[in-house]
Amino acid sequence: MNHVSPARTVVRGMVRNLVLFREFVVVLFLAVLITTFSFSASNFFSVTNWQNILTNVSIVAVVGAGETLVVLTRRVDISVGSIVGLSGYICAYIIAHDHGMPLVVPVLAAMGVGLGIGVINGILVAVCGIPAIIATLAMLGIGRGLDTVMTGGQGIQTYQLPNSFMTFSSRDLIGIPFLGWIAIVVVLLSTLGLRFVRSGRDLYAIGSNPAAALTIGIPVGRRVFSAMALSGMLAGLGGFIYVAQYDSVDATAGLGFEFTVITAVVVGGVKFMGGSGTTVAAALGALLVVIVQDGFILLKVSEFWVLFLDGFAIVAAVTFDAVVTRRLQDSLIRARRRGNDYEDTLPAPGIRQIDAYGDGFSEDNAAVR
Amino acid sequence: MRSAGTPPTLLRRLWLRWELLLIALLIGTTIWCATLSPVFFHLFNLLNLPLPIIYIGLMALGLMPVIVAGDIDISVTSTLAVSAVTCAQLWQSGVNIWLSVIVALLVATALGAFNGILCSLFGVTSLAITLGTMGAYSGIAYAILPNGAIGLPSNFTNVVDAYIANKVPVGLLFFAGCCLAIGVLLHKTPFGRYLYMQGASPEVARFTGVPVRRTRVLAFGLSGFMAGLASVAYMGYFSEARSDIASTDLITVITIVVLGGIDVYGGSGAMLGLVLAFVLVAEVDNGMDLANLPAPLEEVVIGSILVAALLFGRSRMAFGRFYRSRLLSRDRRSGGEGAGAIESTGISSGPELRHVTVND
Repeated sequence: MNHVSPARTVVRGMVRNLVLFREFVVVLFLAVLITTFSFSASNFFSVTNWQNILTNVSIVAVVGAGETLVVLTRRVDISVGSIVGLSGYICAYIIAHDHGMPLVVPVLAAMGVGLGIGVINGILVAVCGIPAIIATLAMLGIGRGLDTVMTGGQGIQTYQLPNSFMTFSSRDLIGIPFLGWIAIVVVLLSTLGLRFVRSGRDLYAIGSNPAAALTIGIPVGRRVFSAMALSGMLAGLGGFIYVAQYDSVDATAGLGFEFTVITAVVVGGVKFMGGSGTTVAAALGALLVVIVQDGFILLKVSEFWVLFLDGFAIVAAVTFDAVVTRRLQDSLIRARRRGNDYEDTLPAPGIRQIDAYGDGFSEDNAAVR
Repeated sequence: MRSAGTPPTLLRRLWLRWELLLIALLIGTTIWCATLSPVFFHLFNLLNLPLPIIYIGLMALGLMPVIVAGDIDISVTSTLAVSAVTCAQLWQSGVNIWLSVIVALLVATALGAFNGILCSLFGVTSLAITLGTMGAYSGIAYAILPNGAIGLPSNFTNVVDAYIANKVPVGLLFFAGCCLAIGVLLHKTPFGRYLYMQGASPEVARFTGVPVRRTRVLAFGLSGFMAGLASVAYMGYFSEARSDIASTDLITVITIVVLGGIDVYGGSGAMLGLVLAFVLVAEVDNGMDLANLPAPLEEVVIGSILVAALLFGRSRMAFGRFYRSRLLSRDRRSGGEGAGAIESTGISSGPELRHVTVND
């Protein structure tokens, strides 16, 4: 058996941990982007721009936290765009029709609408066993259709909302806008939940190996159902943030927003194949995506390039992840063959079981989830 | 009580035939449409009814082989947009329209194949790849044609939107030809069998010697090519190209495929079902126009049809499992020779069946 000195192992472990620390790559990217934009766009570092960025990040981070829960279980929720639009409209409708209403009511209503759609998603996916992409695509269409019918082509305009509500969104606490605080609370709570609560840990187990999770007695269906329902509820909260941010809602509210959210989550290092990632990472991804959008606007680059870049980022992140996973597995297998004590080697994210495509790392190639 | 050897009753066999259900639904929608408008049964209306969604049908035809192989391609609508704006921009810059069409078809095929190459080269799920390229491709479409629309010349639209003997639209004949071609490809060629094998079990397919990677790339390339043809059909019918065309049609494409009885987990589904589902969706589309229902409601209806089709498909599977277990328990009570009965249900005996037998 090869002998590796303890000091060397520790150093190697640290380097490996740093590289494997998924947030590391995102932070690196963020630093590069911020440096680039601060040189090329003169007003990038203004206070208003940063408050603007933080407000824009908060909605992506909140909805992204819910999306993370779903992606962790190897599923995906693309109905969030419609949920944001629909719950945003209902929230704005309540505020506009009763100016004296305490703010809790429209917030709860928005979250309730989101929870309702999320529960339908959960039933379709967890109880009926329908692939999440197709079930949530159906809900995306239904939600958008309902939204368009209900708004009737006009929606709620700024003048219909009371002044007290308008000032709410511009208020800030220690320099951070109020909406930013909502996002911080949601992200922190969900991260703690995923880290320390048993059902949160279960989500990782389900995503890492669904069959094993079922075998060791994790109630997979119930957990997936809860994840989808929570994702819907947080998207509903996102609808409220949308109203607070833009002070108006029409039928195009949140159109294509699901794409931004999924990009943020995947770019933030949440593994698309499930089982790895945190909501803090997703929030960092959201910051990255929003800063790119903001920088492009400041530099007067067409917004359509953002669409291209987002799509490209998903492909690049997923491909990069696949290649890294393959490297890790190969090194693990080599270490085993050498007869090393592989207890100290990092547990590879998802040890492959069946090499279906002969490419060495397709642990599960069923695309439709 | 039925003896174990008799074939399943007529009702059970009907339940197991997806296409019969579709035909029943078709009759229902036809009656609904006929009550809405007296002109529905005119030959002209019947022949023209599918024309507005021919391009959606073509995309569904391209998506079917991919789904049969256990993959998914949600970038088809973006591919259509890229193909359409490429063709229109080339034509506007002075290139011959037919040459532009050929270039657009090549571009669409390349975009589709690119999806397949990424999937098979890096072993990434096609959902992740095509989700990314869905955005990336529509970004490309906007880059090619940032805003506005380009009208197509009449010498192009006159050919694509022509009528044979003043009655039969060319688009419909073309769609029928495509159905036939892809049907033959799926059901009569080795490539088609590879797709089904791969969808049923990628491991088994690979160990049997199916060229899994090549099959995957070809399926995605075919999907891209069909999206290109769909863009030609779109431009011919609507005689314009914009960069946001078909962006909301993905749900209809997937509804046609799922309603056609193609298993979303791959490995099963027949062309006949897809054609029936296409006609059904076309009729619903036409019926909603006849009933003067608001356009956004159509999305709700299509989404509901998709959910209903999925739910029914799952319940059918659950019924199959239940029926098998019933036969088995009866078999146990009557003491043996149940294998024949199980075979005669037409439902293959799954692994859980063997498991129960061993436990017994």
